[in-house]
Amino acid sequence: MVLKLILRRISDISAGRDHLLILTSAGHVYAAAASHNYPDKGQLGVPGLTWATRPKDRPYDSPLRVVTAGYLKINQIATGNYHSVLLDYNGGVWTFGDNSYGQLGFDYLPDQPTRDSPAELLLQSFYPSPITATCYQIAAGGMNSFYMVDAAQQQDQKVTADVWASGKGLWGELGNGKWTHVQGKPTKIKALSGLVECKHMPPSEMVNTV
Amino acid sequence: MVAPDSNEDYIRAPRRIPPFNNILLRDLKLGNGVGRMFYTVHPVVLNIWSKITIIVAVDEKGNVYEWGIGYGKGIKEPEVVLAGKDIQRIEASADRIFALSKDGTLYSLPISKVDQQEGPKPDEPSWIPFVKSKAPISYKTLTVPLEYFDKYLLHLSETQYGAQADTT
Repeated sequence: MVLKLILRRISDISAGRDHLLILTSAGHVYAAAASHNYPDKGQLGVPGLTWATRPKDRPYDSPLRVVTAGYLKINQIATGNYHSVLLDYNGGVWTFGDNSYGQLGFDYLPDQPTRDSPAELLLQSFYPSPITATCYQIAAGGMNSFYMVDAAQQQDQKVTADVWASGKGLWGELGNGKWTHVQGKPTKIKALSGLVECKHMPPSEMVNTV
Repeated sequence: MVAPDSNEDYIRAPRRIPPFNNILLRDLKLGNGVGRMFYTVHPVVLNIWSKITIIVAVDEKGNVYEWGIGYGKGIKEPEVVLAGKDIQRIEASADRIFALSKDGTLYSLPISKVDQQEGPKPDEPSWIPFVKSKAPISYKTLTVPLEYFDKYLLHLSETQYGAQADTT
């Protein structure tokens, strides 16, 4: 009983405008309607769920389980206004919800402006093959998603950290120096990319190298 | 308005909010264009929309404070809306606040003061045995029972595939 309680402990929450994501310490994700507007852009991540098909035997704002392909354990959750981003323990990124500005990380498709089931965003495809890309942190806000990626060289194990952004860039939110209305394919934020960790370097030396 | 005691439209320099002197914060959330529904049916929706702000804060004891136009007009000081729950994290949607306590309990309460006072109030255990009292504000707790919802998932996929099979 105690173990069961621990397993379903809520460890993090994240709310969009109309929905709420709940992460438990077991790595499970739940989504719930969170306002007077029932989420209709697929941001709950439960395929086929609408106001009409919602489970009628409980309040409309009850949490429902969200699963990725392969029932992966989830490490982090993030929500924008109308979309959701999940990060699994393998460093893979899953997105669902509204894609009208490309915030899900792929180009806007007129016949599929929203997606209601989590699908993986292959950050690996933005790197050449000798580099392994693992996402270690995600963030989302408004109509944007941000992905922080560790890119490891396979030969010398050199790791650099990159930050990618996708979504609405009309007001410079993407940080790439462009004012793109819709940005589906993630763009790299130059100022925050190619960073190398140097924790063994004493501060005095760091001043000299700069 | 972020500074609850001010009538200025814009505040150009950071300033201290006096009620928070000597209080440390655990979490803070700003919301824009949120709050009670009737503001959204105002004729000048666009103008007023961006001005309906709320600020929710959690102090070091886990009490939740709230202020801003979305909470209630003319309130000059942050007010404690949820006390004694040991809240760690807060989030806000378009009209509800979600508060996660240290023991993993998730509370959901309306943003606006009117809804908090008029909505259904849950029972709370009191210090007198066998006597329950009503909570001072309207809120509910959200739980995630695992087995139950896995069953629902299965049900939904069955109906989906069933419908597809029918059409083809």
